[in-house]
Amino acid sequence: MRSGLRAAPMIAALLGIFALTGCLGKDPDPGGRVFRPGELPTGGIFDAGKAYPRQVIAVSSTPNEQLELVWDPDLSTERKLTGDKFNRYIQIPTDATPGIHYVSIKQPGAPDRMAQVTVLPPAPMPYPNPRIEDVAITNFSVTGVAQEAEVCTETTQEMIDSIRGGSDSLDPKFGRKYEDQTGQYSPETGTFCRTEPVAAFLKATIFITITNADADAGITISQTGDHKNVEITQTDLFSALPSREIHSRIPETYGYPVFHAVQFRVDVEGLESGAEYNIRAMNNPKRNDPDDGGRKHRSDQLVFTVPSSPDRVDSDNDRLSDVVEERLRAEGLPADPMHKTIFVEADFLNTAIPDENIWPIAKRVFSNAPILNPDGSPGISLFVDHGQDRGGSGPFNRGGAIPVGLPFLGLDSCVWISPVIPICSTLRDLKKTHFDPERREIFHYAVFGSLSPGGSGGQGIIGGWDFVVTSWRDASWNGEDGIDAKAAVFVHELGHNLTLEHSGRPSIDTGDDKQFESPWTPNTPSIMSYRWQIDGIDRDCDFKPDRVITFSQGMYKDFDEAKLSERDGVCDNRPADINGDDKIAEDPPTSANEFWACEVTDNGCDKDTDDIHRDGNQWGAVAFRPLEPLCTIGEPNCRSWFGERK
Amino acid sequence: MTMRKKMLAFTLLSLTLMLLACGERNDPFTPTRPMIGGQAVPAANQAHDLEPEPLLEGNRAPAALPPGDFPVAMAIRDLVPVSAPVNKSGLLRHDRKGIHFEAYDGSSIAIPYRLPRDMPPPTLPPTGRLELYDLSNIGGARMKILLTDDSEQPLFVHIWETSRVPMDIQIGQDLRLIQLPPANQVEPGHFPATLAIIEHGRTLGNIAPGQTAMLQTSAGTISVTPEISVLTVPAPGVQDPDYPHYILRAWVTGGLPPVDGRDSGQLQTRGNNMQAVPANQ
Repeated sequence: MRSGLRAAPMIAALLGIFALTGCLGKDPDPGGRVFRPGELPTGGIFDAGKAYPRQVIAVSSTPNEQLELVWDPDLSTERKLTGDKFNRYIQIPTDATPGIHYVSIKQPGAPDRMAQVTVLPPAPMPYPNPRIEDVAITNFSVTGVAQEAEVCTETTQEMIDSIRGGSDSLDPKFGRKYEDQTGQYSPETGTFCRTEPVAAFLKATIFITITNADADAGITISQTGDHKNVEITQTDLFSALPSREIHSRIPETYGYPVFHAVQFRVDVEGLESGAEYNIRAMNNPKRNDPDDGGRKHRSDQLVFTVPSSPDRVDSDNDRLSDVVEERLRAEGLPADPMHKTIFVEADFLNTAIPDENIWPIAKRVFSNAPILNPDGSPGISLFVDHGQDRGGSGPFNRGGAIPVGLPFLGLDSCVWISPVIPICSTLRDLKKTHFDPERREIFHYAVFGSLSPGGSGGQGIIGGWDFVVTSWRDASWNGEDGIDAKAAVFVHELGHNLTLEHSGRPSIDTGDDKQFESPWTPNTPSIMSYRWQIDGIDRDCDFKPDRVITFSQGMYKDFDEAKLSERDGVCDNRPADINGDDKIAEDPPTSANEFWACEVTDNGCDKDTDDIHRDGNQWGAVAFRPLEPLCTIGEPNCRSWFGERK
Repeated sequence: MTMRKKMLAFTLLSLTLMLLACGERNDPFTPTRPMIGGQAVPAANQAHDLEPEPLLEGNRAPAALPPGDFPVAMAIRDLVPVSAPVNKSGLLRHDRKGIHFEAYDGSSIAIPYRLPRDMPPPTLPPTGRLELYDLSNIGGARMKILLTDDSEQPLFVHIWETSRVPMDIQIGQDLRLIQLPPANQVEPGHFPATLAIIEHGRTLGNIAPGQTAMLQTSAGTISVTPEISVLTVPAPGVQDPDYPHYILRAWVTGGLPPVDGRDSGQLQTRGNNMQAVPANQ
């Protein structure tokens, strides 16, 4: 009892300190850089992580226009940060010195808080130009008629009677009457013609995702042909995706280092339905280094087409129209018109049932995609119907094992293996009996089999909806640190369906002066590359797989076989055993290993070793896959912007 | 007021202050403009990073033949499939699980297999030579297992390759498998390519894909099955540098007893034997 009395003042003092500095149960400093939306602390100083000068990073989790963000408070370099209207993101000043900096986060009526940022030394290279990744158009409303045309239809006596609402006989009076009002009927030709609006002027919202864009980058949109700029009524930085990956890299060793992506929400007026537009972004010249040679810091031009019909609107560019995604959602499927979604139905021949662990692997690959959706969140939602809801009420109840025991599986043909006894199935035939036609062009169709005739691990149609996985090797095929080969093959073949080839851009044969598609490019860190297909891409530039399944972002420099130096490696100035002879050499022999040399150093095995290989932006190609925007008004699922014809 | 009461009062005051302070900071980030044009402004995104896949649970399963009854073979060393080239001499053993090769340098390789139906398993001498590689990848098979006796006659051969030209593969001393180009190879499609078995420049026989043949060579009897032998010609306009190409998936077993009443080179064929038989049956 006495000791309790003595302790009371101490407890009281401690509680007072808590009262002045924070609250019990709230951590003023998360003590780390990893945070998720909504997890940023509400008080104290927190570590916002590392950043390069000019990089966009997050400092506040929740949008709030009333905040004021100040860089280097109370120092001579103090300045108010502009950029994100909602004060979630900041762009590190170009002239920020390496070391620890603070951003004060002020809100009227609330105590200041601080974000601590460790600025990394700037990369000794010109800041990369912005690169447009995705242009998603949504939120349309009709503001006027852009184009009219005479539309004629053949009519019958019954139709005319129906239009008139009576059964009067066809007479000149009817023709005149109708002509006076909405069109002209010609009894001689039996056609009824009238002028109708066929193209609309539209007001819309465009979500533009741009890699390495400044927070205050400029955007121009102009119609193809007349180059007249579209009126932009408002632009907001809507979302962003900083890269932490770049912090462990040496940016100047890459051709196009990715620091961040920024997504702008742009409100426009005067878009014409069915018309083609060019879009371009330009970084703020005031942020440029003075000695960067006067570069224009403009992006390449990206061309997009405005949907000709409301039925063709695909707000998230996932090739599922908004109308379809809304219908799927009503049917209980997890579709979302504002978030990229991919559906796959997977069936398995009964000799090739994959391990359950491949589905979460494939899902992670896409949920971690470095791309932004019109809802501002990153990633793609992948849903595979492998029969997990069979026997239940869930929507994924069509996939799974099918009773076919033939060892070989082809995409569309295999009769040639044996003309007498069938030993081969084809996806084409299986699809007729095991795939619901209602799912056509909504679900990709994948079939797992044991073997393909040529021994390939799988086959997928580029830009199509079908693929087979025929990797008879399972996890045991891989090395000590292996991932499941079937998961990697599944993602690879689905990548083909999503328009990807084995590299992002064709290689160049300087000898023949021609381009060719090489599956072995050393500088395409992608599961699409044969080189990284089995155990994942090389993440740390030692030219060894690191169990990462992803597609390329097009960061790597060109790789010239004629200037091969294993001491320089491929990236991060890290030596790499490129020819696979277990040695590092300045000018390594390309034929050191009979079996590897051809594929490792001489892509295409043309023996001339003078090819130049180029990395490509594969995730960008996956992000921007708009539904075909044009259709013919009057055909099924192609309404006019002006409603049904009357 | 006693000392105890003073202390309690101070404590209560402190607690009140603390609660008030907490109340002031409650949810300072409440959005003031939560919607733009009917759409919520999203919260900040976590920075993007590449995440390695976790190691397979329990490390990984020992390599084994895939389930099913189709013909297949693989080479395994220390429970791991062998991919790098091997060319060694050593001791041979054959049991229910397949062939076991123990090189004179002490390394050993297991070759489990399932042969096409009606193909006899090989009869192995105590010693022989193993040449193999498996550089198969997602693009296609590139695999050869060639087990010969000390006089370089084939005992067990499995070839699974693709090539832009007809394949010519040596499987023993002066013994070769040669793919014959089909007559019509201009039109797009798949064309069966007959497999010729050549010894000392002399054709012992031509075998159509899907057939199994027993052949008498100068050194013994072998069984040969070109399970798949085909030329694929793509549709016009296909720019894939890998096409047109030949595929060969073939099996040879040797060390077999002589075929009754037949001379060297005579064929005894059986049709379409694609159902597999396990090793040593």
